[in-house]
Amino acid sequence: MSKRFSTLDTTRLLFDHPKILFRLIERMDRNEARYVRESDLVAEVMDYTRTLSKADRDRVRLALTTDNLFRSGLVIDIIKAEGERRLILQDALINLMRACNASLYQELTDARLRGHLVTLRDVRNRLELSSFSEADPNFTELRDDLNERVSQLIGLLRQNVLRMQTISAQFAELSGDASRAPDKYLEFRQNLLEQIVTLYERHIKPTLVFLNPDTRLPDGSNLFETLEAMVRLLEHHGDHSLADQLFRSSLSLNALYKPIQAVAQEVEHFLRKTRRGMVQYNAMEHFYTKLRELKGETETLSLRRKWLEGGNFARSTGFLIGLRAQQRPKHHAFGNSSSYYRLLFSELDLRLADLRRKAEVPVLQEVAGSGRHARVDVQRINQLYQWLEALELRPTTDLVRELHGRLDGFIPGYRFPDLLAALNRLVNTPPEGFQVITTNRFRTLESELAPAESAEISNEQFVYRKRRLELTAENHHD
Amino acid sequence: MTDPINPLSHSPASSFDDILPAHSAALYREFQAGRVVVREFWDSNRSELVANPLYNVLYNHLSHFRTFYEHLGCELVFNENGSFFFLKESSDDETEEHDENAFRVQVVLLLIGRYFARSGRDLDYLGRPDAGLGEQDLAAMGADEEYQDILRAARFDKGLPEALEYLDKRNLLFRSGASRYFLSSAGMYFLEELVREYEQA
Repeated sequence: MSKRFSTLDTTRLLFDHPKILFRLIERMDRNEARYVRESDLVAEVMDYTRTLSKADRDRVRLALTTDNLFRSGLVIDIIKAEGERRLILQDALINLMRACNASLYQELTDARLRGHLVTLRDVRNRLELSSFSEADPNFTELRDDLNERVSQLIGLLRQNVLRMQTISAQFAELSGDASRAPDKYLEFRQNLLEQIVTLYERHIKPTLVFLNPDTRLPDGSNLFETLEAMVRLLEHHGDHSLADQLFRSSLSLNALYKPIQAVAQEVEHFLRKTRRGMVQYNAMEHFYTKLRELKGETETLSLRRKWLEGGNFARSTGFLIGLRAQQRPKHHAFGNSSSYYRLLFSELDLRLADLRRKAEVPVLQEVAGSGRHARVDVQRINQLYQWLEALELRPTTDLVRELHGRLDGFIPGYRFPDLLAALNRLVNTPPEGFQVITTNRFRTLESELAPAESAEISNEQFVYRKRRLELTAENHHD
Repeated sequence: MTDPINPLSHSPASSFDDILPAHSAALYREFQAGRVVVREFWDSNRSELVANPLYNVLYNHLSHFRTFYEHLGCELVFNENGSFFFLKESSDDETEEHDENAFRVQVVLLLIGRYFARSGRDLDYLGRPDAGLGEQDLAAMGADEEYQDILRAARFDKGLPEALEYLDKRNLLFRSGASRYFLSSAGMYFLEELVREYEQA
């Protein structure tokens, strides 16, 4: 077979069918090996592709042949040992795969952390003897090395924090049987404690100690002391940008302490749990996992899936099914009550009355915002007052809005300041038989018609105190 | 000495006669607002749980109200263990929206329950006015990104405060202080039910 795929396409196929590598990495971790046996790869591919369509099957099988993987650089070495062929996969590929699946994270053990610390100390020692000259290749190499080590360490720890945060699910799994069989609880508890203590002692505690700035180590400085010493060295030699970068890295590392501490606390809580508490814990975890699955469905590539679809979930628990929504104020454009019609007709009557006086409608002189004469103003207001004099009004809870509706679009040249003048007039001399009551509630009016000539002020607002127009008492009674 | 002309005096006693219209109207308003009627509610002035008179009205005239709401096309659901009533919209339209409110309530309650259980406390404390969720709990829950994502995906754009408000308005949770909350009997019932269901599975 001469057909082969490019590195990009091979990688793409691997991520389209990630289960193959997930399983291989899992096996690698289980055997604590750094290689994949070729026979395992072939078996895994065969097994996985059985259910695919023919075209897909051929494509995946071809892409995952040893030859194709090697030539595309994803397998970096093939070793023949003990009668089998072992493939060493590209580290970057494995790390990416681990990033896609939390359960593939490798737990940090004390030994691995110690290894990192020793390398960092080594870098520091070399830095002390370094020339700090950009021209010296030894120094620039050392600097690159330092950057890489630190970012590797941060990446590793971050992955582990993520992994540790899924610990609650792990607990639920470990203790799942306890909540169901009360008679075996004691024996079970003993086992469980052992497992959890192992987890705690081997992984969580070392990480916590590693990241604690106050830790004293018998064999030398701790992580933060080492980093700090390097920052000081770099500052001393004027390499401020690298010093700052290293300082920020140490801040990031320091920040990782807290989440791990939270996990450690949770472990402690868990160990103290009674049976009842454990059942509750597991029940919550069980249903929360379901919820998380729903959330997972919203994280696919489809942009339309933004909301949780909880119909099935809700019905499975059955709690409060069919509960009403909170009523929001509805905007009724039409109503069918008698009061609605009465209001409609009285409004129509008033508008008709306005139209009958159409001939008398004053044309208010158009004025720009500034530079007008007081004389013009007085004239305008007088015209407006004459119109108001004969304006018929009905009792209303919001006189300002009502007035605005009657003037806006009906009287040419009408502006918000005119409304203010009109209101002043009505408050001081209310129409006969009416009284104006000023309330302390504020409302806002917005002009819908943008002034054509001044495009920049497209939206004016008029903030006012709500005023009621009411019939006076004696009028009200007859 | 009955007036033979007045037909009303001869009509059989109606179950409506036993109930004050004001009570009935108040109940209707509660249900219309999507609220659950619980046996005890939190009196923030006296800082204690007090008996809910409306609950007693419902409880004492259960069959009347069942029939009454049936005529209005709803189902009055009484939950004895959780001591609460709620009004179920006619169940023949099994639309998505039908379950939406229930689901949102459930999501928030579950998040609270899970948070509480993880913090190592017995869930019973969630329903006690002197315990419940405190300021630190609210801060911790608010800082959890996964919870925020879930709340947002359940259409609580403003996160935890909005979600708590949503439960508060429905009497599933009470606010016992500036930033203190505890669950009502109805809210507790849901969590207890989850535990029961899990145990029996």
